[in-house]
Amino acid sequence: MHSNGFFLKDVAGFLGGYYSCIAIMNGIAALILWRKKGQVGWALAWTALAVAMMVLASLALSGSPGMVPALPASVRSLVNSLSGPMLYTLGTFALLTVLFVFRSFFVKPMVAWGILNAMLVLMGLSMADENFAAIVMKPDNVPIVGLVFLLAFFTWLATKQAVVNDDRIARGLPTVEKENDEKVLVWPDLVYTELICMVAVMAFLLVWAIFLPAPLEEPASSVKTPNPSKAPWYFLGLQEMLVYFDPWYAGVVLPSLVVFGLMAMPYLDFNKKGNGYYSIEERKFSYLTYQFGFFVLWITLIILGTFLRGPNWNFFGPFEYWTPYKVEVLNNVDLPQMFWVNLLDQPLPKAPAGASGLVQAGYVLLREAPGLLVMGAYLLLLPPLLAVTIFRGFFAKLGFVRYMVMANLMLLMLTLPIKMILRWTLNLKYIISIPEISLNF
Amino acid sequence: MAAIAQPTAPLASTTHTPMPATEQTWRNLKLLHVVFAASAVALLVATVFMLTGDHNRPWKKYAREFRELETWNAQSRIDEQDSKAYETRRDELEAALGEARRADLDGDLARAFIAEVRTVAEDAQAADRAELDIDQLQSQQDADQRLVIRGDLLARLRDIVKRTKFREDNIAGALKLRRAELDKNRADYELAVAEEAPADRQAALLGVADSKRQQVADANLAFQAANTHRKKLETLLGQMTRAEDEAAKAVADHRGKLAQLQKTLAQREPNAGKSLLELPVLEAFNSPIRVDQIWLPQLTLNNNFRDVARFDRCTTCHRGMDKSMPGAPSEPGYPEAQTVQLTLATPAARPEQKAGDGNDQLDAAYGLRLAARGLFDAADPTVSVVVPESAAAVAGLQPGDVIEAVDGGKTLARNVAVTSLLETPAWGKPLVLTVRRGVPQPYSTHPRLDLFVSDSSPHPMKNFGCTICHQGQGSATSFKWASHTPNSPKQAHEWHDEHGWFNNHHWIYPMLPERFEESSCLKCHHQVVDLEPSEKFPEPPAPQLVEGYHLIRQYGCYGCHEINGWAGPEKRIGPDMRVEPTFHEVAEALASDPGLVAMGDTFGRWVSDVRSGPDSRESRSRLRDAIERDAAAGADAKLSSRSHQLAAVLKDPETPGTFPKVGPSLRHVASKVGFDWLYSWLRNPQEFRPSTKMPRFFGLWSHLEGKQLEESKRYEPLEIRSMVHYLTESSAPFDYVKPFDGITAAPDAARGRKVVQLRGCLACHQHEDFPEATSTHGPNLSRIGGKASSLPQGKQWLYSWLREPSRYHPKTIMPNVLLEPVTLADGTVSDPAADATEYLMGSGRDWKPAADWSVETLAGETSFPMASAGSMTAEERTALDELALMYLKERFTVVRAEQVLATGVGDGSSIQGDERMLVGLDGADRDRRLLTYVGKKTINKLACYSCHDIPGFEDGKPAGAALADWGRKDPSRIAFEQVSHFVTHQLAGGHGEHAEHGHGQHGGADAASGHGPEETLAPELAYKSAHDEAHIDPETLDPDTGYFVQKLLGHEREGFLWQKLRAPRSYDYKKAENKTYNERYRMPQFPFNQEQREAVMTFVLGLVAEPPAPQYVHTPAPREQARLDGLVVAEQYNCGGCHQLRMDRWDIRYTPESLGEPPAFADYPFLSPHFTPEQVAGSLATDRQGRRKATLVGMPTLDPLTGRPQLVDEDGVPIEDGDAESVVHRPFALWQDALVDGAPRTVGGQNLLVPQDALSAGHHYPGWGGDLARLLYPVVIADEKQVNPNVKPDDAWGWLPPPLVGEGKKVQSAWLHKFLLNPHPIRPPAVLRMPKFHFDSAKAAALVNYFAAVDGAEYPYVYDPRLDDASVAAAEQAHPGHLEGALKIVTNNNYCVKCHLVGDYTPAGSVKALAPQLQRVHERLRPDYVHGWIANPKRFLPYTGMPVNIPYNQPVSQDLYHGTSEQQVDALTDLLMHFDAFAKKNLSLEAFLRQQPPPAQPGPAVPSQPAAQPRAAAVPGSTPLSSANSPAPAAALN
Repeated sequence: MHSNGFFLKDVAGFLGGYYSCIAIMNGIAALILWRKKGQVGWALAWTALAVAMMVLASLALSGSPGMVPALPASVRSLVNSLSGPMLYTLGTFALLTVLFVFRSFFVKPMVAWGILNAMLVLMGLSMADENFAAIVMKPDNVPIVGLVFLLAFFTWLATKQAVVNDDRIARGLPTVEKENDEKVLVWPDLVYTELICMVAVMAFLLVWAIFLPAPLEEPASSVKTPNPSKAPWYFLGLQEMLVYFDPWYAGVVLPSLVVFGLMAMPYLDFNKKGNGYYSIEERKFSYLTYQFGFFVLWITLIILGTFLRGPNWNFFGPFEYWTPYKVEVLNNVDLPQMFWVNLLDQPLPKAPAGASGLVQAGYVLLREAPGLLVMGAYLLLLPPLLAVTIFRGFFAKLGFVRYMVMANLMLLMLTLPIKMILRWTLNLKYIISIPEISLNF
Repeated sequence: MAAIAQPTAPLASTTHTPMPATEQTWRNLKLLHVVFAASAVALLVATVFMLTGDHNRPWKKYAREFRELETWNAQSRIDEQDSKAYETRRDELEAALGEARRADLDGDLARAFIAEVRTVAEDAQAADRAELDIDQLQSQQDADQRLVIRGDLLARLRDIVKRTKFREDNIAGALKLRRAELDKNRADYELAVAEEAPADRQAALLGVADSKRQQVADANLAFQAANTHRKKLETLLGQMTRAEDEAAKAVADHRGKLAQLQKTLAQREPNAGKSLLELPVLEAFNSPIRVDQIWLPQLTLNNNFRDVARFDRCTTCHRGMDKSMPGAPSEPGYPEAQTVQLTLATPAARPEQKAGDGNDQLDAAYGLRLAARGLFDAADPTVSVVVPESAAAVAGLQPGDVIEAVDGGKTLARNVAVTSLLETPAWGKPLVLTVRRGVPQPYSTHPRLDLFVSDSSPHPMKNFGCTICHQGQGSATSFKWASHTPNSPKQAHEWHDEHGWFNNHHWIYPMLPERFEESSCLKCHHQVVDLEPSEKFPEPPAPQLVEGYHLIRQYGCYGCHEINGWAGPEKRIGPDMRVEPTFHEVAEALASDPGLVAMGDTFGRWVSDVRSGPDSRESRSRLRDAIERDAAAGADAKLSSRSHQLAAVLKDPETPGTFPKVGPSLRHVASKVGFDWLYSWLRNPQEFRPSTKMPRFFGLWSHLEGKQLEESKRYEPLEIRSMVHYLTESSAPFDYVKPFDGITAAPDAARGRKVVQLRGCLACHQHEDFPEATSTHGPNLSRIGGKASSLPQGKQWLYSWLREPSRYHPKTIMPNVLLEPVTLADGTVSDPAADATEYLMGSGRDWKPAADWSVETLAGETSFPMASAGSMTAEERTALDELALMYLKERFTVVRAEQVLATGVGDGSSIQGDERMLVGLDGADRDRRLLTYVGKKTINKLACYSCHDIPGFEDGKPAGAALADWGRKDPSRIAFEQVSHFVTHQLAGGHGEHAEHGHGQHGGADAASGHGPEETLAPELAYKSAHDEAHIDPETLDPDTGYFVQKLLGHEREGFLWQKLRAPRSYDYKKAENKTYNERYRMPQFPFNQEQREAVMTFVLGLVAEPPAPQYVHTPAPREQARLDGLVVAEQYNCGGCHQLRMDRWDIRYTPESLGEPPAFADYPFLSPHFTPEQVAGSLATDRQGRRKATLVGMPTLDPLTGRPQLVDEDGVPIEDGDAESVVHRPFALWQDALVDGAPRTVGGQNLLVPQDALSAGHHYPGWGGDLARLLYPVVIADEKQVNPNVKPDDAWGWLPPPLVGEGKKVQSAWLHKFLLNPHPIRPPAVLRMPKFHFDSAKAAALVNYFAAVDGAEYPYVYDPRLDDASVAAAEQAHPGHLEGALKIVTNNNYCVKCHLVGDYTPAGSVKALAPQLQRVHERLRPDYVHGWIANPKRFLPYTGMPVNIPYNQPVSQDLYHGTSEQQVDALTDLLMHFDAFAKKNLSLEAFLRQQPPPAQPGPAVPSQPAAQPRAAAVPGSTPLSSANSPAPAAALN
C-alpha cells in the first residue's frame, strides 16, 4: 500500500509485454482457425480479442501510470469484502461442481480458450493492483501461479479426452485410445522428444533465473519470526488444516491417512473399467472422490495458503493490503462447552479437588461425552448405515473389511470440510477436547 | 500417454530388415527437427544472454571507466612534468654533469689509490697501467683528449676495484667453508664427549677441531685484509669522483620522477594481453578486472544466529575512495563533482596566432593546456596541464577541470572553449570561468581522508572497511543490492530509474542516508564528546551527531528515555545518558520528615550533608544504615514509612547515571512563583519564555476532534490547576538569604544593570537589554521580573537565588558569583546582589499571562481560559470529580471508587499510597484534597519528576521507552497507528499551515510552507483507492519533509521518530476514540526546528547497542580520556561562556612575503620557537597558485570600540566604514608560534597583518569559548576611558576572564583544584570574579586534568626539583645571596613592586594597574612557567601589560643581584617559588611570647590561629614581607 510510488511505472512495462503476448497468442489461434480449420467466425472473434489486447498493451506501455488498465477500485473492494475462507472454499467447490456437471460444454476448445483468455485478462487487470502484484509477483509465488494454469490445462486435457470417450462409449464406439492403439518407436518418438524437452527446459530455466533471481531474505532470527510464517508451498494445504484441527491430527494423522489411503486404493478399487483410457462416466465414484480430495482439499488450500493467508494467518482478499494490524475474532468454543454450558446451562463436569486419577478420568469422560458420542456415531454407526443405504452395492462387492476401510477413509477425509463448516458456522473449536492428555479433535 | 515404446521393437536395427511399421514414426520427424533446432537456438541465446549479462555487470563498467580516469590523470601529470621547465632543468643538470666530468682529477688521491693498489702484488700491472694514464692526463693539454684519458683512467680504476671485490668475495667464500667445517668438527667432538667415547678418540677429534680453528683464524685475517683494502680503494675512488657522482644523481633524480610516472602509466594502460583476458567468456578465468574486497574477520556482521566475517566489496565500484592528492595524504585525489566559479586574468594583448590545436597559444596566454578528449564525455573541454604560477594557476584551475562556460557562454566542446579563451575575450579584463571540478560517483574519493579510509587516518580502510560505518550490504557488487539509501524522494526516483534501486526490506542494515551517516559514529565513540572538533581534527568530525547529543543533554530527553550504555557493569554498549542518582532529593524528603528531630543531630547533619554537600558518600551510607535500622524498629520507628521506602534509593548503584535532571528543583516552588505564573507556565511555557527548553504538555490538540477534543478541553485546565495545587501544597518552606549587614546605599536598578552586564550573568543568560549576549546556556532573563513578581516574596527569592543558588537548588549549575558589598565613590556601601535584583525585577515586570489562550485543533481553533486561583465553578468541580474517579477506578472497583469520591476513604489506615490523601474527603476542604490527589496523579502521569525535583517523586522511574538500542528497533514493533493519515491530511489539506503551531520562531523552517495543497497532490503517481482520500506524493514536498514523509508512509523508524519529535501526540489521531483519557500518549512537544530534530534523530538512530570487537571501540589513552572527561564538565558548567578554551585557527594561503618581515629576534634560548627542518621546508613550499601555507593559532584583534574583529590596511591603520580602496588586512595576535616564509613568528611578537585574500583562500576553524570576554571587551574599555582616557586596549583583556589556553602548563594541579572548589581573587583589576560552582571534587579534578592533558603537562602529581628546598640551598651555596638578591629586584621600585602586590605591600595608583599577589605564586604557578614568564611574559600571554624586566643579555643592576640575566631570572623564579619558606625564615614568635605572661602556659601559643595571623604579627627583619595581609578584594571591584 505504501510503496515508493514506482509501482505502476514498474509494472506497466511488464503488463505491456503480457498483453502483447495474449494478443499474439490469440492472433496465432485466429490464424490457425482460419487457415487450417476454416472457422472464420471464431477466427474473427479471437482477432477482435487480439486487437483489444493490443490496445491494453499500448495503454500499459504509454508510460503514464494513470493509463494502466486496472480493475475499478469498487470492484476490488467488493471482491475484498466478499472474500473469506468460507466463500473461497465453498465457492471453489461449487465452481468445480459446475465445471463437472457441464463438462461437455466447458471442454469445447473454443470455450476453454475463452476461459483461458478470461483468466489471463483478469490476472493482467489485477496485476495493476499493487497489493495483488506484491503477492503474485513474489519470486517464491510465481511457480504457484504457473501451477494454477498448468493444473487447469491438464485437467482440461484429461476431461476432454474422457468426455470424448464417454460419448463414444455411449454411442457404442471404441475409445480413442483403442482406435489409435499403435506402437511407437523409442527413437525418435520417445528419446528425441525427451532431449528436446531437456534443452527447452534448460533454456527456460536460464532465462527465468536471469529475470527472476532467487530471492534472498533476511537472516533467520530467533527473536523475530516472519509474519506470516509459511510452510513450503506444497505443505500449505496441511498448514491450512492447522486452522481447524489440533496439530497432531492435522499434522500427523491426516497426512498419514492420505498416504495410507493412496496405498489402499488398488485394494479397494473393484471397478475394472477405465483401464488404459480416459473415462468419467464409467468411474464416477473414484473420479469424484479423487478430484474432491485433490482439488478441493489439497490444491485450493495451497492456493489459499499462498495468496490469501497473510500476517497472523489472517485471511486477506486478493486486493487487500497485508497489514499485520488486522485482527479477527477467535472466540471459538469446544463442544462440551456448547453442550453443558450453553445448552444445559450447568458447569462443566469437574472432578472434586483431590480426587483420584480414575475419578478424574471418569469426569473427563463425562465432560467429553457429547463429543465422544458424536464421533463414535460418525465413525461406528455411519458406515453400517451407509452400507444399507447408498453404499449397498459397494458393501456387497467389497465385503465387510474392505468396505469398513473404505468407508472410514471416506469419513475421515470428510472430517476436514465438516470441521471447516462447523468452525465457520458454529465457531466450534474442538469436538473432543482433552487438554489433560493433549488430545483434541 | 501416447508414446508407448514397444519393448520388442528392434532399435534402429542394422542386421534385420526393419519392419514396415517401424518406418513410420509417431511424430513428424521433420517437425521434430525444427522444434529441436529452435530449442537449441533458444538455449544458445539464453547462454549468450547469460554471458553478456555477466560481461555487462555494472561494476566491470565502473572498473574500466576508473582505469581510464587513472590513466588520464597519470598522463596529465606526465604532461605537466614534461614541460619546458622540466626540459630546461634537465639540460641544466646535464650540463652540470658534463662540467663535473671535465674537472681535473685530484692527482694526490690518484697516487694514493695507486699506492694502495700496489700493496697487492697481483695488481701491480694494473697499477702500472693506471699510473701511466695518470701521467698522460697530467701531461695532456688538449681538453677533449684529457676527457678521453680521464674516462679511461676511471674505468681502469673501477676495474681494479671490481677485481679486488672479486678476490675479496672468493676469500669470504673460503672463510665460510672453513667455518662450516669447524662447526662440524666441534660437533663431532661434543658428540664424542656425550657418547663417552674413549679418551684418545676425544683427544684426536679435539685436535682436528683445533687445527681447523687455526685455519679459520687465518682465513679471517686474509678476508679482513682484503676487505680493508677494497674499502680504502672505494673511498679514494669515491673522493675522486664525488662531484661527478652527485651531478649524475641529480640528473637521475630529476628524470626519476617522470620515469616513475611513466612506469605507473604503463602499468595502468591496458595492453593487448590484458584486453584479451577481459574479453567475454575469457574473463571468467583471469581477468585483470576483479571484484575488490576487504575482509574483516573481527568486524563481524550479526546474522542473528552467529556473527560472520564482514566482506566489503564497495571498492569494486568505488575505486577512487582512498586516492589522495600526491603529497597531501588527507586531500581527496578525486573530489566529488562540483561546479566552481573562477576568475581568470587575461593577458594585455592577444597572444601570437599559431597553427594547431590551440594548446600552445593557451599555454602562452594562460599557462594551461586542454586535453584532446574529455574524461567522462569526449567533448568536454578538460584542462590537462596547468603551468605553476601562470594566470591559470593563479585563477585556481587544476588539471581535470572541465570548463563549462566562459563569461556565461556555454562551452560544450573543446573547440568552443578554445575560441572563447583565445578569440573573443576583452584582453586585459578577467574572464569568469564556470568550471566543473571533480568526478561523479562512484569514482570520487572519500571527502574526509583525514578521518577515514586513508592509512594515516584513525579509520584506515583496510582495518575498518566501509559497511561498519555506512551499513548496507557490503558483499553486493551492484547498486541495488548494496542497499544504498537515498537522501530524498527525488534521489530515490533518480536511483530507481538509473540503477533499478528499490527498498530492500530484507537487508536489515540498509545503508545510512547521507543525512544520518554520522549516526554510526556512536557504535564506537560512546563518549560522543570525542567527536567534537579537537586540536588534532579541527574540522568537526560529526557536527550533526554532536549537536544531537547536546540537544539531548540540554533538553533532558534522558530524563524519560533512559539511554543505558551498559549491558552489565563491565560491558559498554553505547553512549550512556542517564539521570544521576537522586540522593539529594531523598535527603530533602528526609529533611521534611516529621520524625527528623527525633532521629538526633548527627542524623540531621548527615541529611544536610547529603542534601547539599557535593561529596557525601560517607554520610549517605551512614544515613541509609540509620534509616534501615529505624525501619526495622517496626512500631517504634521514628521516621515515616515513605522515608523508609526511600532508603533503597540511597544505595550505591552499580553504574550510576551521570547527568543531572535538567529542570530546576520544584521542592520550594511556592516560595518562588505564584499561582498565575505557574498556571500559565504549565499551560504553555513558551507563553512566558519563547526560547524555553521546557516542552509543552497541554493544548496539543491538533489531532483531536469531537468527543476526544471535548475531553481534553474539560480536563486539561483541571489537570494544570491540580498540578499547580500539588506543587504549591507540597512545597517545602525555604529559608531566604538574609541581606548583608551594613549596607547603606539603597538598591539601584542602574547599578544593578551594570552588575548583570559585568558580573558574568551574560555568559549564560540572554536579556533583551543586551542583545549581543546570545548564550542559551541559562534561561532568557528578559521577563524575569514578571515571573518573580507573581509572588509577594518573589523579590526576596530572586535576591537569595543571586546570592546563593545552591541554597534553593543544590544541584543547580548556576554558580555563586560571589557578590559582596561594595563601597561606592560617595562612601556608601551597596549590595550588588540587591542592585541586580532591583534591576531584574524591573525586567518584563508587566508581563501577565493571557486570559484566553487559543489552541489549534483538527476543526480549527479553540480557546483555553485562564483559571482563577480562587474557588472553582460547578463545571470545574464536575470535571475534577471525573478525573479523580478515573484514577480511583484504577485502584478500586467502580462502586468503591464512586463511594470514595463521595465520602473519602474513612480513616485511611488500611490504605497505602496516594489515596491516603483522600482521608476526610467529606470535609470542608474537599476541593483542596481532590486537587492535591489529582495533581499528584497528573504529575506522575506526565513524569514531571524526570526533569524536576518534586516532593513525593524522589524514586520516580523513567517514564518513556528506553532508547539504548532504538536505532535497531524492529519497525513492526513500532506503533505507527494512523499517523500517516494525519500527516497526509496535514500536508495535503488545510492543516499544513498550522503544522508547526506553537513552535514560535523555531519552527519556521519547516516543511509544508511554500507548498500549496495542489502542489502536494500528485495524481499521476498516486493510485487513489476508496480508503485513501488524500494521497500525497513525497517527491513533491521539500527534500527533507519528503524524505521523512516517505519513511513514515513506508512505516520505517526514521519516519516514526520524525513525527514523534514533531507532534508526539498525533499518534492518537483517530486512535484516541478507542482509548481512555489517561491512556493517551503523554510525550510533550519540544520546541525543535527541522535541523534540531534531525540532529536528535541522528543520535537516536545511532543507538544500536552493537559495539564491535573491543579493539575497534574507541578507548582513549589516559590523557585523552582526561581531556574528554574534562570536556563534559566544562560543557556542563559552560566554562567557555567566559573563558576561551581553544584558540581560533586559520590555515591561510598567502602570497610569499606578503605577511611582512619577521621581527629581529633576541630572546632567551629556552624561549626560542622550535620547528623541524621539514616544517621549515614545508612552509617555504609554494603551490600551483604560488601561495604558501601557514597555520595561525590565536585571536583576531578586536576593535576596542565595537568589539568586532578589526580590519586594517597594510600599514595597520584601521579601515573606516565605507572605505573600499584599502586592501583589507586582519591583525592577529598569535597564541602559538607559527612559521611564515620559513621564519618563525612568535607568540608575543607583533600582531600579524594577514591580507583578507590569504584568509579566504584558506580555512578557519573557530575556537571555543571566551564569549563573555569578547562581549565585555569594548564595555570595560569604555568604562575605563571615563577615568583614564589613555587606556591601552590590550590591558582590558587583563580585567576580563582570561583565556585558559596553556593553563595546564601554567598552574599547579593541586592549586587549581582548590581554586575551582573555592576560588579566591587573583588579579586586582579584574571586573568580575571567578564564581563558585557547587560541584564535587571529582568534577573539579576532571577540569584540572583536562587542562593538564590538553597542554601535555604533568598531572595529577607534579614534582619539580625547583620546588624542592634542596635546589634553593644548592643555588644559595653556588651564589651566596641568591634569594636576597632576587628579593632586592622584587622590591626595587622599578621592578615587581611597581605593579604587584607583595605580602602586605600594595603599590600606589589605580587598581587597574595592579598585578597579582606575588606571595601566592609559589602555590599557584608551575616553576617552568614562572621562569619563562619572568624572562618574557608576552611569550605566554600576548596581551599582558607586564614588560620584559630582564632582557636577554641585559641583566638588571648588578647592585641588586650580581650575575647574568639568566641567573637573575633563575633567582627570581627560585624566590617566587619559595616565597613562603623564605618569608617563614624571617618569622619569629618572640613578639607573641613576650606579650604573654611568661609562665602561664608552655608550648606554642598560637596553634588555633589561622596561618596568616602569626606572620601579620611578626616584626623582625627589615623586609616588608613580615606582615602579609591580602588587600580586601571586594574593594577593588567598583
